[in-house]
Amino acid sequence: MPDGQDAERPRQELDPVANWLLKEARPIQDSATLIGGFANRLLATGFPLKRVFVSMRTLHPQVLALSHYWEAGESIARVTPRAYDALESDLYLLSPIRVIHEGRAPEIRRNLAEATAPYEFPIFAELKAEGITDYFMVPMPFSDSSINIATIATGRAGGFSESEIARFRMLIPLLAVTLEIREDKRIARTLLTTYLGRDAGRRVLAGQVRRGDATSIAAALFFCDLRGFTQMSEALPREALIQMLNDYFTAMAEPVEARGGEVLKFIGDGMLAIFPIADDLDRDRACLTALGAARDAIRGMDALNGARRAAGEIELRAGIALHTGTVMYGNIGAPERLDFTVIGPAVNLTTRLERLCRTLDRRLVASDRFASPCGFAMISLGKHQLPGVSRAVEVFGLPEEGKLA
Amino acid sequence: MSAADWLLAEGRLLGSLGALIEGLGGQLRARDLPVVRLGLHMRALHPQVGGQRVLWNAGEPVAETVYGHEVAASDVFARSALAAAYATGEPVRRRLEGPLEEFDFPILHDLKAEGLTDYLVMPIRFATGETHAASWASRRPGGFTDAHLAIIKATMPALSAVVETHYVRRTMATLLDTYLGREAGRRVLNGSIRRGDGETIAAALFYCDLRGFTELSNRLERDQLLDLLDDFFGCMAGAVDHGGGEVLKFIGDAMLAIFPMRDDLDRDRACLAALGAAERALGDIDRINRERQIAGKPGITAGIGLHAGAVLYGNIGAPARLDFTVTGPAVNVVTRIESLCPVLGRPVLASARFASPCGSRLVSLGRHPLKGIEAAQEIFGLP
Repeated sequence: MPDGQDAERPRQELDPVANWLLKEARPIQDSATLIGGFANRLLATGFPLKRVFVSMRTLHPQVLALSHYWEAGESIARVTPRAYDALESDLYLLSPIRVIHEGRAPEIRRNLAEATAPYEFPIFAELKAEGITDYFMVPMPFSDSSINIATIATGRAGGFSESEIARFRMLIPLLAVTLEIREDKRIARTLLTTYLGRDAGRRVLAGQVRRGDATSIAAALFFCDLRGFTQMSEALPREALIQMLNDYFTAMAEPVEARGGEVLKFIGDGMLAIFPIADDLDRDRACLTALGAARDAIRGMDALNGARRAAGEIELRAGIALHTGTVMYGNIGAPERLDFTVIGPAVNLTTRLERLCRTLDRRLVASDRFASPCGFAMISLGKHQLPGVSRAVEVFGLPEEGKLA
Repeated sequence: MSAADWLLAEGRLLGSLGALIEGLGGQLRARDLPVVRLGLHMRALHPQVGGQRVLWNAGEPVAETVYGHEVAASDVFARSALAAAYATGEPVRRRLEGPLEEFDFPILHDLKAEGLTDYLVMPIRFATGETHAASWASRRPGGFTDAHLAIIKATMPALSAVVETHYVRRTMATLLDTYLGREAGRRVLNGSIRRGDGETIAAALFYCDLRGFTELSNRLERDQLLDLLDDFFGCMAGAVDHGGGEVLKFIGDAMLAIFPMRDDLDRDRACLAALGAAERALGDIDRINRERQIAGKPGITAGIGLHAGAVLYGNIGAPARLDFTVTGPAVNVVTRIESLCPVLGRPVLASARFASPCGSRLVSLGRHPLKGIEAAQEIFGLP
């Protein structure tokens, strides 16, 4: 080294695209906009770009990876989610991506102008038909050691020059770092939504993470559980038990979420959800929405039981309780092991109410406070004493239940 | 290759901030930059952590320090060069060879005493707009030259981006540990995220609840109730954690924890560790009840159920709304055993399977029927 300081002196001109990624791109919060911006800035420096493709693994219960497609003329990349079964599809099995994932090639470069059928990968035929002359795919490892993919393609006669290929290789680590930050944030949002629920996940990400951070909210409450679960969990093999619980929770949770409710907790075979009440005038709407969700859930359980009967499996009997009141919602637990939970007398009353489903042989029961805005949609089932609750509560049910078997 | 290129190509793939900062220090010194001390200073999103410092001194192992929210809010911190850099978002540079009376931050005296000649705090800006910082120090007579400063300045954007990837990932891991538990959080981050992902594990089970919670929650004010639950869960989770167990779930006023068994030979150890945790938790509750009594707060009465068996551990729920949960017959049994605590007037009850390796530390209380379970079970308690 002639002179350490000179050798280390920053390059007189940092690549303008590198400079953009490190500085101006900072406020961009999502990968699709970042990829679009990256492609357009490369294009603006004379880089002959026609297509960019970036595929990144994600952590989502239903989505394996997100594919980002950019074409010259677009400002933002289009995003296509890929489900887990994509790994068994020809789209993946016959793709260059698989070759990179399996480590069978460090990079893939293909001069498509000169290529002729049969092509190594079906995608090459499509790209050639679109006028692509040169194709270059590189792995883009993230710090968690997951391997993601970036591809560029051009329609220029003669394809990319060697200095353009070298420049793209040089930009990849920086592109990877800036994308990884955005992807990890998106993954954090997904995971917290998946495991804590939409609203609780949002509150935690916004920094409501200390023990005692709690708010009181008014809501219509929805609680369900499964009759005979203890016996079933003794009798059923592991796979059948998981499948049964997943089917049952899907029948209950989907109508709740579809109508804007929030699933707060799964408790063994129980599920607690709320429909928040914005203000005093909003109570009727919340109760009617919760009732609609409960009716949908009952229909969903009927459909599930139809399928179970056909498969020779025992039918499931679930009870739903509806109530309205104020609950305390926030961080409870030990200092380093918290739960975003909901507690309060209204929660206790709802779970006690649900036990009446068994005694009264009903699929749905509601408290008087819940039923009052529901009018003729609910009928009285008389006054009942609930354990731990001093006054007897007038309990309501669905009028059609007597007729529906 | 410049140090910034090294950060992006290799440094970003190192597993920890400690390895990153040590690697960067070495890279810069190999390029004749006279840095002898390099620190990363971060403000953290965590229930208990107000900030974090990762400090490299040339030739020494990297030291990581975490401090609480009270430190970040203290007067000492408010008078630091770091606080000045956070507040303005601008670099802070102080030469340490000048007259002492010009030292405007208390830390400068300590640095000078260590023989340092130049001290520089550079803000680290994240994509979110948050500001963190990197501190640089030299021992070279005359301090950093303009050429050195230019290198440091050129390294900062890449350092900021790489530090942000670590920070985002660590924050995510911490939140998952906090809300799902250590083991469940680790499994989810490693990709165990789909419904049906799960496994059967053998464990000693520890289930506790708070006696009279429904009545208390109807009677107490919100803050009193939170305080009561925090004290209760603090004792229970603290004892489980101390014994090497894992808190799986909080359910209203109840908590479920496991002490996993590595293999059949490990059952005795797991059961004894769970029993030890139960005894410790009761001792902690007694102590905290004395404090609560003095403060005029309602006392805590706990029930603990102990059992050993296989549990099913994994993702259950609706397609996009999951729970990393534990289920299976053994879970039902332990909750039923615990529900006998008020009936038998005992704080700790255990099944025969749990009690057998515990010898005389548990005594038989006879056979008792458990709800939903056909045959009456022999139940054990503390002598």
